[in-house]
Amino acid sequence: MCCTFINKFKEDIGMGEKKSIVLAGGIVGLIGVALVMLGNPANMGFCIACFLRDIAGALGLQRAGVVQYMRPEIMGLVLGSFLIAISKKEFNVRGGSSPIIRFALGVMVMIGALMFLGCPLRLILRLAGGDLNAVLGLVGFTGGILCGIYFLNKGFSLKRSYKLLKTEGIIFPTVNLGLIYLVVVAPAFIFFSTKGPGAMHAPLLISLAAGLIVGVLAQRTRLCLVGGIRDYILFKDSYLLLGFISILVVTFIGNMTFGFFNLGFAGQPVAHVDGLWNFLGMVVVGWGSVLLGGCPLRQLILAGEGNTDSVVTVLGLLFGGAIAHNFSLASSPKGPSANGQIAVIVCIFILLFISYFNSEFLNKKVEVK
Amino acid sequence: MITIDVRGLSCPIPVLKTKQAVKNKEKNFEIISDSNASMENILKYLRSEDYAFTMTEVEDDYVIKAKG
Repeated sequence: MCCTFINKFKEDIGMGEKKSIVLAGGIVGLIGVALVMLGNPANMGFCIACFLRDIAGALGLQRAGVVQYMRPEIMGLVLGSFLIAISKKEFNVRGGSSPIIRFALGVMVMIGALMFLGCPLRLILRLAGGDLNAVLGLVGFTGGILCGIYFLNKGFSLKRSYKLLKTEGIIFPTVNLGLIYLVVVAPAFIFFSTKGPGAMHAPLLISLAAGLIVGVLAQRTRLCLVGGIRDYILFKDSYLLLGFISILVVTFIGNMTFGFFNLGFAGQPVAHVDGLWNFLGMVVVGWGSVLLGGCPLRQLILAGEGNTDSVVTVLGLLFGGAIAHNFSLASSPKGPSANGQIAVIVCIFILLFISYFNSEFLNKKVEVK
Repeated sequence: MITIDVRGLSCPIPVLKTKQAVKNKEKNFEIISDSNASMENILKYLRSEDYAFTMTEVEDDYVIKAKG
């Protein structure tokens, strides 16, 4: 129970922290470029939304033949986070913070991401590849984050999570081991695309290793791509934003070096040119992610650390990936679908309802306690 | 002295509640947190606002006492 004033100590490690997030972001950027060189679709070294959607396809939850593959990067991210959290005594099993709302937010973030064709991480990779459509995505993403921040300042909360038994937290990492088994054994009931983005992938072990490395780095640094812009606006804290910028800069340099950089709107890989819907799709992603407390990448990392609310969110993302294709909500390189446009507008209204009813508008002053 | 219990709350609500206390010009307050990430972020925020603080571990929780 000894107390020590540790301001000075914290100041000393402040610089070290910044270096480590810049380094981690740089490594994520390099791995992103390397995965494209080794077979992943262009500007899609990593995309949490696309990869979860591909896994939904591999499991037969959606039957769009061109986007079915059991992406080992996802299993690597979860298991990397799980292993490092165990070794650093940060495996902390908890849950119970509005699981159904979190599931719904996961579904909506996926619908928004598949309107734009990318999660916040792929937004950065697309920007770094010269895809100017992603600029409108970034504007929408920031707008969505601002909507979320407005309600956070009005006391928005999904309420507390509580400690749970270790077994509850171990289930999800174990399932991911099972998914690795399925991709290795490749039984007939698992679907693998033979053409399209789903057929483009780096070798299995490399994808898995890439996921493991990024999982470890993201767990240690708390890398979160919605957190960067959010914390900078809320607290003038640039820590997570440095990670965001570092990924952008290193991927840009990598793309220039290896000839992947292609500036323009038209003809960008796995992207469409409809600016309004790129914008609105990312509004949903930014807003939903702020309400969830982290971007899809961060949800996977938290899920590996034993946060079962994040497991529910990931299941929501997976379910969203399935219905986005089954109900023709997902965009294609030709552009958004009418169903997708309706879904995104509905999502914006639902986000507004969830934000309003979980805030403290009825109280005159937001309670501090 | 007020106590702010941020246990089990998602990012960035623990820091936001700390910020509200700072903006309400609370000079002496206590925060109870149960996550490493939240605790680190709260300490970082207090430092940026020039608050002095102490931190103790009580069972599974962190108790942060802040002084402005």
